[in-house]
Amino acid sequence: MDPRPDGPRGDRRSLALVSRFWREHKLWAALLLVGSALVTAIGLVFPYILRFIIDGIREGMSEARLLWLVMLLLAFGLLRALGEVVLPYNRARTNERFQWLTRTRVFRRVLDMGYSLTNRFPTGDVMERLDHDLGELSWFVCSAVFRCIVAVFTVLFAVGVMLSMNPFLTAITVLPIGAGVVIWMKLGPLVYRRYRRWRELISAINNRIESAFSGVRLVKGYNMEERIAAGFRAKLDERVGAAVETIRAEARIDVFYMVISEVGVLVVLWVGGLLVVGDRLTLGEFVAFNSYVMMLVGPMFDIGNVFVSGRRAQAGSERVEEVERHRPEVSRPETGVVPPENGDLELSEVDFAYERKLVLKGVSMKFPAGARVGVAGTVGSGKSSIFALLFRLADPRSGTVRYAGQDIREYDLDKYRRVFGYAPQEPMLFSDTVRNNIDFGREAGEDELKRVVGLAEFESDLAEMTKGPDEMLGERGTRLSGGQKERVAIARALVGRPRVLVFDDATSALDAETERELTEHLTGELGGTTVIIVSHRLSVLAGCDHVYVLDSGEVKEEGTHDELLRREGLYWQLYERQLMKEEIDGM
Amino acid sequence: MFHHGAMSEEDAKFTGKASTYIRRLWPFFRRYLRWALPAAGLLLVSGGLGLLGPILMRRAIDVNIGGKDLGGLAATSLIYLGLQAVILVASYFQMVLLFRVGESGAADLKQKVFGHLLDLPVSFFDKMPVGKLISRVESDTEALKMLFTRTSVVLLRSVLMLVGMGLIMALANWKLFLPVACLMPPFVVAFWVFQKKVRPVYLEVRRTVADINSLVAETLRGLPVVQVFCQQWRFGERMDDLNRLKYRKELKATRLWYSVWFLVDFGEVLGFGLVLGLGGLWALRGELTIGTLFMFVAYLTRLFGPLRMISDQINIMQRAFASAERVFHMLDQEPEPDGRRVPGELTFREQIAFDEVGFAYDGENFVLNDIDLVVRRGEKVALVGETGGGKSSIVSLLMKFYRVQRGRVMLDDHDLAKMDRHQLRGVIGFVPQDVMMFPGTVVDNLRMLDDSVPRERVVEAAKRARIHESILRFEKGYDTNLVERGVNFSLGERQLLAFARALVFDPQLLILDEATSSVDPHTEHLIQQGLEQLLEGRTAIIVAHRLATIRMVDRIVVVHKGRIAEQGSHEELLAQDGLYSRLYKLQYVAHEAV
Ligand SMILES: Nc1ncnc2c1ncn2[C@@H]1O[C@H](COP(=O)(O)OP(=O)(O)OP(=O)(O)O)[C@@H](O)[C@H]1O
Ligand SMILES: Nc1ncnc2c1ncn2[C@@H]1O[C@H](COP(=O)(O)OP(=O)(O)OP(=O)(O)O)[C@@H](O)[C@H]1O
Ligand SMILES: [Mg+2]
Ligand SMILES: [Mg+2]
Repeated sequence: MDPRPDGPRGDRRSLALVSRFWREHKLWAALLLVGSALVTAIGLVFPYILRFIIDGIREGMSEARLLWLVMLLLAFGLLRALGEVVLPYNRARTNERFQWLTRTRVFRRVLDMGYSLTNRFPTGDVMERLDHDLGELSWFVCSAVFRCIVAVFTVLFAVGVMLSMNPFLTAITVLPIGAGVVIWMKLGPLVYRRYRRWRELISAINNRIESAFSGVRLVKGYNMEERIAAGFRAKLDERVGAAVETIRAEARIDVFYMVISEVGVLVVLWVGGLLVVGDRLTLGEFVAFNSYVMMLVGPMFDIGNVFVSGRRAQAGSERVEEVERHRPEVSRPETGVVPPENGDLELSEVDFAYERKLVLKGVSMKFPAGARVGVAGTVGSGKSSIFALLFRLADPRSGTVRYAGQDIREYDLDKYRRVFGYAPQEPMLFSDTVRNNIDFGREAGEDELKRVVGLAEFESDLAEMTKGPDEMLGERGTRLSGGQKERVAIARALVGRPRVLVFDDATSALDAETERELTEHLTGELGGTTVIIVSHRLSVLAGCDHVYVLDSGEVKEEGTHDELLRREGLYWQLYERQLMKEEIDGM
Repeated sequence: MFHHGAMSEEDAKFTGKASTYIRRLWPFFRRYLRWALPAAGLLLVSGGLGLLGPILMRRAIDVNIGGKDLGGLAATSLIYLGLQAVILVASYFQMVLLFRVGESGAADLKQKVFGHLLDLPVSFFDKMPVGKLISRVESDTEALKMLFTRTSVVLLRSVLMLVGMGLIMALANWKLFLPVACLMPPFVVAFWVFQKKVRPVYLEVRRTVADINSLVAETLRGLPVVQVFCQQWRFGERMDDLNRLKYRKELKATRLWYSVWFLVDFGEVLGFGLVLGLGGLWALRGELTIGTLFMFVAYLTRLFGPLRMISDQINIMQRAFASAERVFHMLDQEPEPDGRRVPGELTFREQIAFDEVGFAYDGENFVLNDIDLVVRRGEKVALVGETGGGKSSIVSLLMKFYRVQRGRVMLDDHDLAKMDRHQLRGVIGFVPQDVMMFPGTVVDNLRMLDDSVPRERVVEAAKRARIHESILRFEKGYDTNLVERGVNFSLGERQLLAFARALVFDPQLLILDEATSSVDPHTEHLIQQGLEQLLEGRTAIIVAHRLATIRMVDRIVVVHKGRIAEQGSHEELLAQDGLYSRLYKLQYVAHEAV
């Protein structure tokens, strides 16, 4: 029944989001239930009055009585109209509320997740899950469920009244309904499978849009427009196919439910007619019976529909849950220790793997408080991964990371992370003002902003912008040059004077002069701060107290810049080019 | 804290007329008329036949049962059965057909919007978050498809049914029909008022949805930064705020809608009251058969169905128009200007020349001034200089990503502004400063989805770019899937991939914008060795800060504050003792320290 090989979920868990919502809103559920019962009851009195009136007319009741009955009908009708607005409005409100609460909740969980989330769920996919899947689901949560409940009430009431009039006729009218259940059991899983495939194709399409527009310079630079559009078209066609397949399955269920209710009408017409002719049923009863059966048509459809939409909701719920249940890379300790002001950072015998790819093997490193430590190494040797471990964006597979002698897993996660200032290898800016990008929610104030902008050598660039710090940046910081982005990221790292500063290749797009000035400023300003720098520039590494050299996930060498050069090992090999003054002179 | 409504485009006023939208959308659905017309036909058939139900009922009550005619009753029942069978079969095919029309038309529309967006100039994307673009291409077009499927058909059917039932009732007893008819005009007014009021609300809903989407997109991209700086709460709050806003707007629309709904409901009750009151009176006086009265009641029940449908569809239509507004706003953006193709194959014969070029991204603040630069064929030129100086901008102009405001850029004797952009870009291999990967395998990324490029050539290029071994270290080698933006590769690895990509296409002109800034110098050196022979006779423009990167160039151009400050060979520039020589000395100071 479950098409996905990796999906452990059976029917029971699949609507967990829905049941969870109602568990948290029990009172509201009860209110809606009572409301539904009331609305149903009022609605059902209607044909009853109708029967009275018609029977009365047949029996020649007084005109006064007729008028009285009509007034009663109007009064109930007004009540019904009110009920049928108030109830659905509240259902809609609940849908929206569910959507709001769930989206925010899932998003908050996503905010704590790590690389495995982004590896598994592309942006466009997450977006689709949080937008449409959740949207469909939210309709199901209240509207579909309570419509179905109203429908069941209606069916029960109507069947009750019909039973009181004529059990035999009731039985043969209502029995075919059982057939509906069979149909649903047969077609339900089909709807589910097809619908899910359809949603997955939509996600795939979103991902294509995402990547095409994120990389638009590349798309244009390599004249890929047509190829991208052709790929897009192919996916669209697949999607149309999947959508039509889904609707075929759903339409079959829909039509079947219509058949069932029409069979009921037919039975009443024929058999009921026979009974009236045989004087075993009054004409009034026949008419009332008829309207009760007609009344069953809508609810039957709603009930059938809830099975169809239930399958959709199941798929939607699972797709949302897959994101929500995705395991964060790290867990917060129950009662986190507050990290001390100062301390040495230390990795000992650390192994680390992204899923199955082992990228750090037995790495031991020490970053003493207040020291400036350089990390050098070949491409893909695991430098950035070390930082992911230091910040607890991920935990090592084995070995420990310690701060001030204590395993960092014991610290309160937020408080521990606040020890750091981080300038990532890719600047990762947001479409917001320059000010907000630097301040980044820490509300550091104007003076601090000035200070960090000055330190990061960004002052003159800022002065040239028309709106200064209030200049809006595009997504990922577009409208800044490569080096400007890096400096904004550096300024962001400096806010609030963190005790450990981590620069992951954060000056790769700076010219030597800017970089030199930046380093000088920092050296002057950052006495006592631990600084960890990844760089491919000898000038930067030379200023470090200690340098680690990495290759394929292992620390190959360590020592001061001078020691490493004298050793003429990997470090020397990596950076000799920058030393060979003669060769460059001889260009 | 977060900036609201950042993009001026978002503040586009709500101006469009419904008829304009429908006219513009029509072509997308017209070609599916071959399905839509049968579907509409089936719908009318099922709707029309549905109308006969009460007539059969009347016959059963008045004629068959009243006359104790068992055979007639059986006949009536069988006719009813046949009628329903036809209706059901018709309904099934109509549902599937209509749905197909909607999906197909929507797919075409999506394709059109997507294709059009791909044709827009780069400057458009500088301002537009990708999350919003996804909303435009995906959700907004989705909302539109209903217009041409369910909505139009249901509206048509509902109106026809209303008219049909009106006719039958009027024919059966016009006196009783009159009060029912009087109930209709208020509905028309109510519908009109509703649609006027609700559309701006839906527009706001759509806008909020797009904001939510772009928040999701941006957050996922910057997740590590959000976490290290402990800003999860703030992004969470932002999400909550946006959702609260959406909740409020949705409810506002819902309230509007339910007021109309109430009107319809109450109208129905009034209808019953009138029919039963008057009709009952007349029936008591013998002026009306009970069968007719019963038929009236039955039609009344059905009469308000279509009215509800109409109000329902008006609601959907307003949502759709709000989306149409946004979709057409995209389609109305001016695409990149397309120049004339040079007949035959474009070859780069002599030189590229920047002639007094001045350029401003926003049209006002010039970031490049008086750029005069000639790159001759076969020459290797380096652009160096202070960050933010304008190097990448020069490169972008050469790619024709932006239009120059002053002067011109010439390729041989063609003005770039008048050239066909595809042809121009076809001769250039470009590695932008921002590395970008597409979801898909390594091979597909290196050959840019161009299946005609053989795998060997890809492997060859990867070897030259010194990324071959790293690729093989992945379990699936060249068939490894890159996740979004390639983040399962380290930045250096991605740079090498991007470099390899340019080599795959063996371009006449190679542009490298900081292509190896995050690559260790040793690897970089190895690449350069390979490159020297590869670039024999080819032209290259290389932007770099690390001067070792450009040791093999013929000429160095120093770009400073949007102008060309110095140019010449390494020795010449050292001798000038200017900007370049200062940069140079700074980078090699470490050597003296040893
Ligand atoms: N898309 C854009 N919109 C508006 N302004 C921009 C845009 N891109 C760059 N700029 C501005 O143009 C100027 C030149 O930027 P450019 O990217 O050309 O510099 P660069 O020399 O490549 O610098 P870097 O070495 O840091 O990459 C900068 O002041 C930058 O802020
Ligand atoms: N999210 C991820 N999922 C899977 N593998 C990853 C992921 N991120 C990195 N890797 C792999 O881990 C290895 C080490 O990556 P890391 O980013 O730590 O290298 P690095 O030393 O920082 O390289 P560079 O100098 O290029 O920045 C690389 O081979 C890379 O392919
Ligand atoms: Mg790295
Ligand atoms: Mg640049």
